Amino acid sequence: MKGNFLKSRWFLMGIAIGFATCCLLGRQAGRRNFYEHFLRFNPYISAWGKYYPTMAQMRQIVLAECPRDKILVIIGGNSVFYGAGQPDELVWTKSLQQKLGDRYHVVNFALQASLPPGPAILVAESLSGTYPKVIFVFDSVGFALRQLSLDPNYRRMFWEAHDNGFVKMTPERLENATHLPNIYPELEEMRGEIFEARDGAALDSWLHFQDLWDLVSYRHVSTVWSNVFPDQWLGFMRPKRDGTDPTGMPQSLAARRVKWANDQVQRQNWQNVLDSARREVALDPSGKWVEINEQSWKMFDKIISLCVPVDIRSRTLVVFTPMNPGFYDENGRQALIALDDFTSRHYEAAGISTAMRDSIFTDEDYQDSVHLVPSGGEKIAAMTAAKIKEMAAGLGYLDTAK
Amino acid sequence: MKIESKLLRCLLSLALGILTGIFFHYLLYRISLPTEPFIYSSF
Repeated sequence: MKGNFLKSRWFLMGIAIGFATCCLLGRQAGRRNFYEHFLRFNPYISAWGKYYPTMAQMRQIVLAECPRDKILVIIGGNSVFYGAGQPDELVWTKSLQQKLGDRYHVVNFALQASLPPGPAILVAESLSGTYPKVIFVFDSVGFALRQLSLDPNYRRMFWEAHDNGFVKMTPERLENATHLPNIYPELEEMRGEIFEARDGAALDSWLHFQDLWDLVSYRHVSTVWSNVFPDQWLGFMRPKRDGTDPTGMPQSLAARRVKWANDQVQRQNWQNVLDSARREVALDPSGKWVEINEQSWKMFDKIISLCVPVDIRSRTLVVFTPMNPGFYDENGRQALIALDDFTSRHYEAAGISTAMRDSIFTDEDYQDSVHLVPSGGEKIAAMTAAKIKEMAAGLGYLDTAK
Repeated sequence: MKIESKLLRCLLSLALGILTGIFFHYLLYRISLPTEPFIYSSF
């Protein structure tokens, strides 16, 4: 055979054309909303399904669905606010939307297994110029608050927000992006990857591969193996848009109680939370709850200042979602309430609104140690709606709305 | 005949190049994904 069959110049030109076309298509993908009837990031379109949405996609969902004159309510946080334990048709944010009425537009960006406040706060920050009326809400359980840059699954979005200019990060936020202690020991081992996430985001801001292949995965074919659609041959390849949250209606309370009694993992989780509460608060000799770990509370104040910038604090609401009272005795319950109470005071001191009503929840409202079934979701929705309306009035949003 | 063959080789080279370019772009996406999602069980 004489010479190479392929013409190298044409081949290299093809590579350049193919790659550049993908970059352009990816850029376009991040500039429109490709989600259909977005409700929440269910397991198929989140880390569980090895699908990683981007900040650009989240912004486009809001821009496509929420008219500019409405009061935009962005929900962040973790699986509790995602609505784990509630089927799609009864997810608490639907109830919240109903209770708030059509002056408001609620969008649920809470992500399972993310650290509150999660990526949603950066979406709220980045859209506050476009939407004059924004309220950001996230759930808090004890001390679970960290900058997004330390989130094991979604930390790349922190750098995406920075690199694409969606959010102007303060030097302090950037300096502390990778150097604060983590609450989960496992994360310590993953420190090295934080830099990879940063590099990946920087590269993606130019080459737009995440948006393009997310779109392909969502609309056409998924190429990353995950345990979604396990009952089907090559189920992981099905387009992610076919997936909905698999949660059904909750079992009876009696059946749930039996499950809880035998669930050592849940009990251990509950114990860990209680232990961490007892490291921060204690009863003094007069029988009054006091803060005991000054260093830790100082660190918490610092984390608040990093996670919730001054500009958005007056528009931020933290909702305290208590642990299942069926899991602990009165003493433990009081310690957890005290922790929430002191945590709430620190948020309020920073100018952030809070909502907390432990007493309205019974074990009937829970799926497990912390996630709520539809009845609990209904209570959270009522409590949150009342507080959002109060905030909206205070912020002057109702004067000009509609 | 010779010109047609040359053109065919050019087009084939271009098409293979485009596919390779797409593959490189896809490869960037794949290597940037976390190997396993970290699902903590506390909350």
